[in-house]
Amino acid sequence: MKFIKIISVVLIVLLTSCVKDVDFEQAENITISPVLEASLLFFDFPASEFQEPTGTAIVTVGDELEFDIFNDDFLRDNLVRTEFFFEITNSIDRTFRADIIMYDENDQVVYAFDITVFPDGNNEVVTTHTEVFEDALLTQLQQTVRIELVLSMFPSQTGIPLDDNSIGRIKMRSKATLFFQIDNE
Amino acid sequence: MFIVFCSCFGFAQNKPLLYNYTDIPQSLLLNPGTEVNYKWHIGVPLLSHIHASAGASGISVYDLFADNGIDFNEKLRRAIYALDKNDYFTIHQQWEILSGGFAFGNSYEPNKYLSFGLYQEADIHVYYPEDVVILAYEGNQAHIGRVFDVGHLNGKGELLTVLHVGITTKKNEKWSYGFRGKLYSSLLNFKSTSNRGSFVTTEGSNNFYNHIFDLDLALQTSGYASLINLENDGQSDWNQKAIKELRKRMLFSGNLGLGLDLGFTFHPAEQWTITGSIQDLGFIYHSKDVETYTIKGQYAYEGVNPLFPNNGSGQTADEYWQEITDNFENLFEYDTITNPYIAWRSPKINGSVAYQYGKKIMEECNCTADDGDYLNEVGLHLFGIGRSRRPQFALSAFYKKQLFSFLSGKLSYTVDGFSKTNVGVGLSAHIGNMNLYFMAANIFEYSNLAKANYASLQLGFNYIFPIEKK
Repeated sequence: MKFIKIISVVLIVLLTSCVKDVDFEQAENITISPVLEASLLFFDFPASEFQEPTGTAIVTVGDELEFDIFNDDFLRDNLVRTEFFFEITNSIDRTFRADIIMYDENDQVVYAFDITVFPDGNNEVVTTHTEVFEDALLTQLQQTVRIELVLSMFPSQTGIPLDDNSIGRIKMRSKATLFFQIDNE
Repeated sequence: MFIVFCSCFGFAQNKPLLYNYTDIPQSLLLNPGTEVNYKWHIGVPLLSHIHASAGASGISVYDLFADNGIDFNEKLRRAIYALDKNDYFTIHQQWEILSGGFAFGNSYEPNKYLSFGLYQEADIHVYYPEDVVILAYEGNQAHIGRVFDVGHLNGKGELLTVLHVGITTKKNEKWSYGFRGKLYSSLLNFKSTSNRGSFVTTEGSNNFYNHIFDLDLALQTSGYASLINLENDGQSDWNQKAIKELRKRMLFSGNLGLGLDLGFTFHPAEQWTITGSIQDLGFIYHSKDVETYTIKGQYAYEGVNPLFPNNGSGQTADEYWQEITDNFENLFEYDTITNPYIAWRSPKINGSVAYQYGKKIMEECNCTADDGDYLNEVGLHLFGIGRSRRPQFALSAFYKKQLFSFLSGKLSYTVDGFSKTNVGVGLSAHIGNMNLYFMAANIFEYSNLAKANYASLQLGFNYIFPIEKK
């Protein structure tokens, strides 16, 4: 008869069973914060790339690309901070400046910044630069549809132009770090 | 979000309580070689067997949703790291629509039993896609050099009806065996079980990082595309239409399959019973309303290089960038193909060994009747099911007792991938010719089901016509 008792108790428990002390609504507070890193622009040029006969002019090379990946609903809703990190290694005996200019769809400049690279003869000099986009600046980044990079080389004080035999290189590596906050809002 | 919710409910198909419960005709569905001790039976339509179970290995609803003051995101974080790629979520449900059976053969003592029926079954089994979850949850920054395996995406689900007929033969006092043939009719199926590939961010040679994608993913579906398209005619409610459409597919949906069950019962000695069975050795051939979505390709991205068209590449940065975005689009754009496919059922095995003892003591003589049945049975039951990555097993110990002439009960203790504290209880009553039974696994968790990793319920009603005692 003990068996019956056990079974009756079990049945009572079964019939009165329920899901207790749980709160499914708390799932609405979900927040996840992944951090993504991705390579951006890079280049590697020898000194001979910047030849110019006079030795006194500013040599400018540049290019632009359509760059609208930040102009995206998911990123607009969930991205809270972006960092661009640049590392320029220079062993050409010249001063360089990299200008990065961002345009919106009306061709208006949304934002621009520059990185100046000083030489140390033909020794390698590593210059780094971090550009942080948050709040209003992040909104500007999200309006960007086109990005332009202009690399300018300033003449040396001696005025001697670079030629095919000039030594040194200028290299750039860069990456973007994207901080997300994905929540229910 | 959806994944998190799904993860709280899962199922398994183990039925240690019903297995070899010879009073209940539905035990023939687990082993067609189960001994039969009645002349004929008919299941009460729609009520003869209702089974539902859900399980999740490694996590319970309570772990994630406990109202205990701990921040939800902290509980989520713990859950994400507590699980690994071999954890799984499963939901299983069966509903018998019609069933019946009768004895035939030798007219003095029929030694064969034919049983048949139609039931509906749903089964979903999804592995925890560990690497994909970690990548989505943390991003790649903290995991430079880690190879994220997209093969962790592995799951399948099916909704089908099964029309079956089986024959159980009692060869002699020691041996019984049986077979059951099954015709499957699929209502819905999805299957994504052979995904391969990876994503890794490594140190780049020209830039900080090289991002390498190597993807070979496929999701096979049948019965799905037409349901989704129902939406478009905008007349009546989509749910209603979908249910109507699914009902049409209950029999002979066009995506049909065949299966076989086989099993035996053997008594090496009077009080000992050994049984074994295999269920659902079979497949469904999906050829109608089939859509397979694939993503396949390799791509390595290191950044945008050739600024300056004068550097000899002849390519502007914009062209270079366009090429990159095209490559990404090609990589992630899925292809839809409509090739037929074969989906194997998940085969199940059962085995048991049991010892019976203790005959009823007659009040008149304070002795036991020679031809009486034993009142107690103890034994072990092993269950296994083939899953896409590896089989899953469960071992149960059970004790069955005839409580009164009309009522028997069974207790089981089961160790499996869900828990090591699963105690189940079953009751079967015969009132007149009516049989009703009720079974529940993991009863100690019923006081708070949310804490359980696994829950399972079965119940049913049958009309059974017994063999008259001589």
